[in-house]
Amino acid sequence: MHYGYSIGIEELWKWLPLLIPFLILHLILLVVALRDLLRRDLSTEYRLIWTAIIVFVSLFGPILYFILGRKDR
Amino acid sequence: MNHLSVLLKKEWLEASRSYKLLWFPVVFMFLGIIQPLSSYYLPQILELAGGLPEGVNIALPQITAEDVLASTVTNQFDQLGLLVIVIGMMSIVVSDKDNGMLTFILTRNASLGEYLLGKWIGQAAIVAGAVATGMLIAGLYTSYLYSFVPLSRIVAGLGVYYTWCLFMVTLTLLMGSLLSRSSGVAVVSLFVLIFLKVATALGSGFQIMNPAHLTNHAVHIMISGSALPHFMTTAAVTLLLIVVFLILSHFYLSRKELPAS
Amino acid sequence: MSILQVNHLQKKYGEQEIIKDIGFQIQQGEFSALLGPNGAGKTTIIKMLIGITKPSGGQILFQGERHDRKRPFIGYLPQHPTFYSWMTGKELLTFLGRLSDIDQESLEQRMHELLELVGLSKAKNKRIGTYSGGMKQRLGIAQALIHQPKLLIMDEPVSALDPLGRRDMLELLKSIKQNTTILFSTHILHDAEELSDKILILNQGELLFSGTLHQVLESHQQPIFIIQAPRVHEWAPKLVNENIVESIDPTGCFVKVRVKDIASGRIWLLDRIRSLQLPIQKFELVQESLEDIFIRMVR
Repeated sequence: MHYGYSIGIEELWKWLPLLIPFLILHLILLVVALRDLLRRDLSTEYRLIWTAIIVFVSLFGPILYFILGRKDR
Repeated sequence: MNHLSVLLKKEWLEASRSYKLLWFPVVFMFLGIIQPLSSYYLPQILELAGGLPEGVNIALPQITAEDVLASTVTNQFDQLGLLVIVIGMMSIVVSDKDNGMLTFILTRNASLGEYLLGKWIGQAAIVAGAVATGMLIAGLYTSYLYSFVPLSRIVAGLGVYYTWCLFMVTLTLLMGSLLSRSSGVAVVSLFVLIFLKVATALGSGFQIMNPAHLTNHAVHIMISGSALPHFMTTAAVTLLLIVVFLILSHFYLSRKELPAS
Repeated sequence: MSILQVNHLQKKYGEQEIIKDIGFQIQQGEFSALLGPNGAGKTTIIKMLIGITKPSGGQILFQGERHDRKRPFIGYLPQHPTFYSWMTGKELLTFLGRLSDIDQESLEQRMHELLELVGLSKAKNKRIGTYSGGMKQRLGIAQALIHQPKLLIMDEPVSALDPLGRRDMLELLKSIKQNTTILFSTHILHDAEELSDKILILNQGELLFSGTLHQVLESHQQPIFIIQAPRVHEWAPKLVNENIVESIDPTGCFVKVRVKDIASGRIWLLDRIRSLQLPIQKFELVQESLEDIFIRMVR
């Protein structure tokens, strides 16, 4: 378990431009999902659970929220 | 067809209010990025994860740009993408039946045919947008990391692949008309689609009748510029099934007693 | 001329007869209530009238003619309207109005009037998901009236509302009743009594009575004695007398007694009260209320 230092900083630079679109898309989803969650009139508990899912389930957290979290009560 | 434009406008509004217009294309863009990126960096990723043990030497096959695009379609779009399409579409008719909006629309001057057509065109357009953006992104990444792929081949492959997507959408719409729970719609649709998909691996003669086989045609078009034999048969069968599914949905819903509220 | 005429209407599900040969008429400008206990078949009749359920027999005529497409004639409000929670009130009216082939210009005008009428002008740009039950019901009225239907049909429009929403709704219905023909269903007699000119009493798929409230009272009202005294349940059974008393109905702190003949009944009851030494607080002869008649009919 020694990952992290086998890759040089210049390698990362090469990756970055390719990863940027990825990160931007993720950020957009994250912001839109959180904004929607906070704007809706929901219980604190429900909000906390979904905030956790949106932020910590990488990539698919916001999508899970759009599919399941916005069901009308 | 004036009602149709009203219904389509409603579909559009619903898709944007439910953020479907946002997350659908984004998911396919993710899928489009993942394949080229992970194929290209696979050697480095392996190293990053600790490298290979001494003495073990995996000869990674030489991957071409065409291979990458092909596996984007078969590994990403046809798996996670398929799942997303079904889940995104599972409640489109069911919720209208449940909350009585279908009754409402039908007690106006709109006909059941206009309603179903509105749903179908609306969802087909969203999927078209999503799949096309995803494919375009995959093409950009592949061209940058590997070599340039002719846009004409991507577009042609995409067109063929989209026919299969249209089949997914129509099947889910039909299940939505027949069944009364969105979970049931998702399960049955996924079961049928995955069954068809798995059946393509068998490779026997009846594949030319299998809509899922369109993926293989699409892949072949991207790689070699021409489809597999009997492409026209597969495409015709798929289009025919799409029409039959639409007619079946109409037939079933028109006979069903709708809830009044 | 009658707006709606129903002849020998029937509905069967398999062997089960839900609606048994029903006939009635609704005249222009009338406010009619379809009154009956739950399960009497009210919703089934309404579904047949608006054309989403096919009758097993009989005919439904609008202005004397049969129509396969009844939609332009009818405005319909279901029992629990949910609509699309993601739409605003205004968007919903536009959507349904356009589906009823109203052109954009007159739709704007009509929407403005209706939102004003149902008191939703301020909330028109809010999402329906944020509306209260009463607001949704009022939006339901607005959407039902948007295409200026000849007949407004409502399924239990007030039953599910809280007292405040109910009051608002009753006021609203009273204000639209002047220029609309209305048929609504309810299981609450009081609502029928307060709003309607005409009632249709339905029980177990059969039409027991149709006519004005006045006619119900005239043809079915009977006088009853009300006797009030402490410990009702102890002495009420002692009033049984097959020759004189028709029915005894103990309710709370008094007893309603229906007798066969008023004059002899009165003498007998007073005798009985004296012999039982009942400490009566009230003894009176009244006319049956509408509720008494209704309960008697559906029993």
